[in-house]
Amino acid sequence: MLQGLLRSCAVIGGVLAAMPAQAQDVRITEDLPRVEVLIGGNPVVIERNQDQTAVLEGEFTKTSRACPPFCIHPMEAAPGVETLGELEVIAFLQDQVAAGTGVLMDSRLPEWFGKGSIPGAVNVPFATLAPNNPYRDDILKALGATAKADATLDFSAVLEVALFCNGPWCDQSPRAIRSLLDAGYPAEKIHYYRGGMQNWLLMGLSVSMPPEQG
Amino acid sequence: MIRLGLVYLAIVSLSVGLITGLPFKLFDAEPVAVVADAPVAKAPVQPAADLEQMTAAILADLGADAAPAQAAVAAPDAALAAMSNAALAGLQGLRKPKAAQDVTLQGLVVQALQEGQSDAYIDALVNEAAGAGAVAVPQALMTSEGKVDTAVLLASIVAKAQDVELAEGDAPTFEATATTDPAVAFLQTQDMLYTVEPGDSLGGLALRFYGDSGFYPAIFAANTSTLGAADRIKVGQRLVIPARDKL
Repeated sequence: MLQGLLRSCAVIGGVLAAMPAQAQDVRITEDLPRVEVLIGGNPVVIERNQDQTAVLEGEFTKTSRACPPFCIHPMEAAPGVETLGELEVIAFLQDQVAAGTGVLMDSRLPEWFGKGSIPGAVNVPFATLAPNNPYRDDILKALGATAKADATLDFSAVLEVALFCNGPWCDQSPRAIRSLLDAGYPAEKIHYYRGGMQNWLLMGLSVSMPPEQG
Repeated sequence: MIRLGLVYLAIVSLSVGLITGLPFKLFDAEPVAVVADAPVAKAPVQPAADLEQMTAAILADLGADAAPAQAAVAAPDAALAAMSNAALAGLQGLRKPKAAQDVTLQGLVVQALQEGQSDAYIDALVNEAAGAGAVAVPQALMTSEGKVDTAVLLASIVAKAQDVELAEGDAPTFEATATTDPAVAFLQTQDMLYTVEPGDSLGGLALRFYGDSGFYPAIFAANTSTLGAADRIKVGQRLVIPARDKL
């Protein structure tokens, strides 16, 4: 009996010893300690800050930016556009983005993207989707739109896009979503991560910096 | 009344400033200070014409000479071009591993030039790659026939090479074709109407009239209603060529 107990302890000890040394006390969900995705051939890691005493500092701690223009946005960006939370954004990266059928778009201007964004996101500033941008159609085509004979665009094969900006008080991704809808992008292929960078950081989730430009 | 107008002017200027990103360039040294006013533009992004008309109307209310802000044509396009190109590069990077060499139009041409290929060879190479979808061709280089305007592309490469030489202290040898064109003298202070001919491209027109294909956004901006979402200009279209002193 004792021998059996010792044997099981040895087995369990062996199994525990074989597991990664880093204990992940701060997991994403109970079943998900961290996420590794391959995007464009590059490994992207998303996990949470393991320091349980960590707090946010600086700009993303402000509670009362002037409204207008920094007003609270509704849950729904536009009819038919699904709103996402952090877990849904992570699932979007693991499923659609890794498979090449989706794009996570950071709608902020490049200066903000450069200070840190969600890993795997592409910077498509809201201004580039506005109708007055002569290059807008090039971007829509890169998202899968095709030109028809009458010079309008066909959106039947476009990628799924999830947009975010700085937080529920930021207007840039809602504006980008409206621009996409006005251009003809199907609503069911647009998703809105309302929480934005502020909520992403508040969860202690990984932030990526763009590589230094030579 | 005037105070209200001044408030409107301040709001419009702030919006234009935020849209064009000028404050970021000015406040680059102090990013934290900028954040409070930062990235969200106040007014909805409007077509340039509406913005200019509104500004002119406000200035008229204030009693100033209502000179339309034509200078806004070049600045937003340059910023938008840079952001759009970066966005396109990012989107392209999702599809292939970043380690792989992305085939670009300019890369193809430079390699062919280094191999000493003829202009005709380069023209065929570039059009084949564009036809196969292997390279992205900017709208400005698409002729009315749907081919790549290789002559303009080569000229812009030559011009860039000349710029590098000038920077190194050599005497300038490039003569802009525009200086021998009688239309150019007329164009100095007045807009011109031009009818597109076979083989024309936006870049080619900018090269011909302004001496630099890089000025094509000015022609595009002056003709958005005609050109709209088209990916190339068409024979017979009448395009406004803005006066050179408006660039």
